[in-house]
Amino acid sequence: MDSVFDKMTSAIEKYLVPITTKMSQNRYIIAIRDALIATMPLTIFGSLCLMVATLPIPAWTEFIAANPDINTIIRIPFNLSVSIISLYVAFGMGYNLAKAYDLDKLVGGISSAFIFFIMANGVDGGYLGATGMFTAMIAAVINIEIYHFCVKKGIVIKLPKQVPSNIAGSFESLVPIVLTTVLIIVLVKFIGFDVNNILATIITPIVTAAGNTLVMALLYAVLATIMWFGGIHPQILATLLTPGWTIMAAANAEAYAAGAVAEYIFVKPFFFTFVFIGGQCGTLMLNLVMLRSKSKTHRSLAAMALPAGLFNINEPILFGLPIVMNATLIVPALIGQVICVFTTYFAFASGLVPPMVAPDAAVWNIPAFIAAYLCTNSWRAVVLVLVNMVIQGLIYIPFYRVAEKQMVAIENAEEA
Amino acid sequence: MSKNIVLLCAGGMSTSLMVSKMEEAAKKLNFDCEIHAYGTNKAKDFGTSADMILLAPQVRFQKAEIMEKCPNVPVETIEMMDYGMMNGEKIIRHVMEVLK
Repeated sequence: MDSVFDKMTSAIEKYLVPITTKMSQNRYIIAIRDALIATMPLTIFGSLCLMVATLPIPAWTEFIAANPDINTIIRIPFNLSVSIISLYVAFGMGYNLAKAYDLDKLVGGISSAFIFFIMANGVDGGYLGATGMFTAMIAAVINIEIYHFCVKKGIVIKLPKQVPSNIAGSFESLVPIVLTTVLIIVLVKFIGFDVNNILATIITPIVTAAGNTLVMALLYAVLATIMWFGGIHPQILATLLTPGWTIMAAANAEAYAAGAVAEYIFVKPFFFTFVFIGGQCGTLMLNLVMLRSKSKTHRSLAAMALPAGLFNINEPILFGLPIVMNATLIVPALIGQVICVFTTYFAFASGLVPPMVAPDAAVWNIPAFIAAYLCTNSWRAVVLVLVNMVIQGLIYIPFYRVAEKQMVAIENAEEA
Repeated sequence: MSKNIVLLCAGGMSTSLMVSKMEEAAKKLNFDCEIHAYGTNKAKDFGTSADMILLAPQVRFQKAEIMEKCPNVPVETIEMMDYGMMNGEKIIRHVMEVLK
């Protein structure tokens, strides 16, 4: 056991840490991540409005059906957030990339939105929603790279020194914006290179098809747990999966709003609401068990950790119990996460629990039993959370008793 | 003069728990300081003007990057056990030692 444990730890330090470090420093990955994070308030609000419009209460359903105008009004925040998500992504990504290059951030954001509009065939081109997400990202990258290139090579309009720097900054971007616009228009309009179509019919399906598989879900749950075992935050994994999650979430919500079937199962709340209950490694039930531990240390740790644990923040348990670098407790953590991926998949695939029609409404740090309802409008999802929680607890308990015994022995030795 | 301490973790969530524990300890030890928690992506915005930056252990692999972004600011990683047990007093005592 010990040698496997040592090997695993050193493998994490040797291979996983450098890769993680490198990827977390990649300016494109950072820009996408921060842009998608920044859209969250809009998509959460929009999704909640969609769920309010479709609350499964008979009196309300009848009222909405009889008052289409009110239905339309309630859906405005949804239609102008999730349904045009790519516009916000283009702005946010341009802003963040410009920031990374020390260019004028606001100009970078606005001009990227502009270039996105050109690439996406204008406001009515049909690519402002989830289907245009990759167009938005490519537009921002091309735009800011050309902007950066021009500024670096001095291909800009230079104003006299007396002109205030913020005015000079706006002029600085004029040449690159014109260059980028001409380039895109030549490519898209004259050569007929339909970038949206290529991205939306080839790249998007590949990303969502790969993201929406049981294999990918298991891989993510297992890798995330192993990284925590090494004491490393697996944020980079979530970052890499986020574009797919965002596209799938928007597609589910758009389908639902249009009365069609929400087809994607492996959206973000699949993990953050149904599998990572109480935080990654699924520690909420374990935390509750620890409240009545024989170890004083564990009891006080559990009491301190519980309030944050309800909101899926569990670093006190991960580092304090600990689960990090702990060969005894990493086993039930892994088994529990894997089993819950299966139970959750089974529950949604079989239709026992209705689909996550508004995944954006289930923010990761909303308590799981509430988030489960918010993204499905169904009590069955809440039952699924409780079932998974009990499963995770039952798997932890026998292993936890070992850790508890060790702690009690240490406490007794200190007192003696 | 009041010291400005910045805590960084992945999203600034778990470190904000640590902030309140450290504030309690600082008050008890009569150490005049302001403590704030952010995600590591905000290092450049809030870290450069700090007197000391403390990293949560789960983002320790970003230490070199943070040091590069915030030159002249001491950057240290909080011990895993101190972080798990939210041992604010031990961490504040260490900060006082470094900033003496």
